[in-house]
Amino acid sequence: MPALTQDQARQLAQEFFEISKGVGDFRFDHFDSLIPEQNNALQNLQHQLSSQSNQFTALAISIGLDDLQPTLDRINQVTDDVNQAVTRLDDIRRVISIATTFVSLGAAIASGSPTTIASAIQDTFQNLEG
Amino acid sequence: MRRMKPYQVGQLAILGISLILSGCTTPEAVRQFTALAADASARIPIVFRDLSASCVRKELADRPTEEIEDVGEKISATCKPFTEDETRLMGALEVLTGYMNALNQLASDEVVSYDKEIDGFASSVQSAGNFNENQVSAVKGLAKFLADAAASGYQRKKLVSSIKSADKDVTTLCKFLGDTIGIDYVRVLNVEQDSVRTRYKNAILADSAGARGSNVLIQDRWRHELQKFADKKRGAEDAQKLLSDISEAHRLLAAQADRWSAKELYKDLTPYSASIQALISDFQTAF
Repeated sequence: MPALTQDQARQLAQEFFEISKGVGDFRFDHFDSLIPEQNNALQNLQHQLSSQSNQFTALAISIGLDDLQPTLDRINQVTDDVNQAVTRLDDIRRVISIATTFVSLGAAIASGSPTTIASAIQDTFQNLEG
Repeated sequence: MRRMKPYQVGQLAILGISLILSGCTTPEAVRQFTALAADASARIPIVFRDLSASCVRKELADRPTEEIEDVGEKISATCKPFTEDETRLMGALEVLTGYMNALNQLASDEVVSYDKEIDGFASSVQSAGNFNENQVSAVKGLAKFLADAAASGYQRKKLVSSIKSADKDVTTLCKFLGDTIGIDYVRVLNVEQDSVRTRYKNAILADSAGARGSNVLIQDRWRHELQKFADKKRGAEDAQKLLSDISEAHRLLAAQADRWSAKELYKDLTPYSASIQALISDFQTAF
């Protein structure tokens, strides 16, 4: 037997719910003429039918989620591409900053001042690690 | 380093001006829409979490009125399929929110502006080399403009291609999530409502020979419950419409992607943004 589709599961969920309501309405309409055992049996039937309706609803959602997976995968791929583009644009910023510190390092070395050189080297390493 | 000749500076200026005229504008409208869409979709989990909660409430309402019990293993097992669905639904919603957040980041002004970095670079060049202030200032200005324009061109191209390629799937995802809320969750609420109604009716019938006062209390309580169901169904309707608006606005972006102008796009997206904001406000009162 082929597996249910989402629409079929939804349809079953709705039908079981309608039937459970019908059983409940019947019980209340004939409440005074039912013996307690009949009353309990009908009430239990109503509960079971409505619980079954919920089971079919949960199944319908699950089937839909299974069918949705390729869609989710494709959107995730686009999201990854977009995030890579943002990273690329950020990388440019980082490259400019690194270039700046190398220029400063070059100037510091040219100055011959040990303190300035040490400070520039530290900045360069921090930027590279950044 | 050789000084730039005047004609070389002029060539860069012409290139810069033509980039402006080609219509590379910052996608402000895309940024605003994606921020709103991400915010809206991040509010929806409360609906999905109510799937299993409603199932549990329904099962408890079905118990005999003289029974006071915790949610036992039987009820947990009965409602477990919804708990499993919820985890996957949250995952699907996160895919939508993640996509909107990524677009929002790419559409931001900060990501395509290099002013601060170029300022820093120009200062270091000026202090390191034999360039006068005017030369550094001129090159800095053009460098900033060209870097920003090149980055904006890349940004725009990437936004256009991403939105167009994802549009069909975003529509499918929003429809699925919307139908899960508008059809499946509402049915689960209706099932719960019917169980609760049955419980109150049983209580009234059981007490038909008793004091009328208790019937009044039961009826008042039932009216209160009815209002809660009505509020949740209204919230579900809002959430479904939210997802529909997100899908429609995204479709509009994709359809007009090749001829974006920030002003027109902003004008076209405004009704969707306004609708989404109103729906969020109403949704918050329901849950």
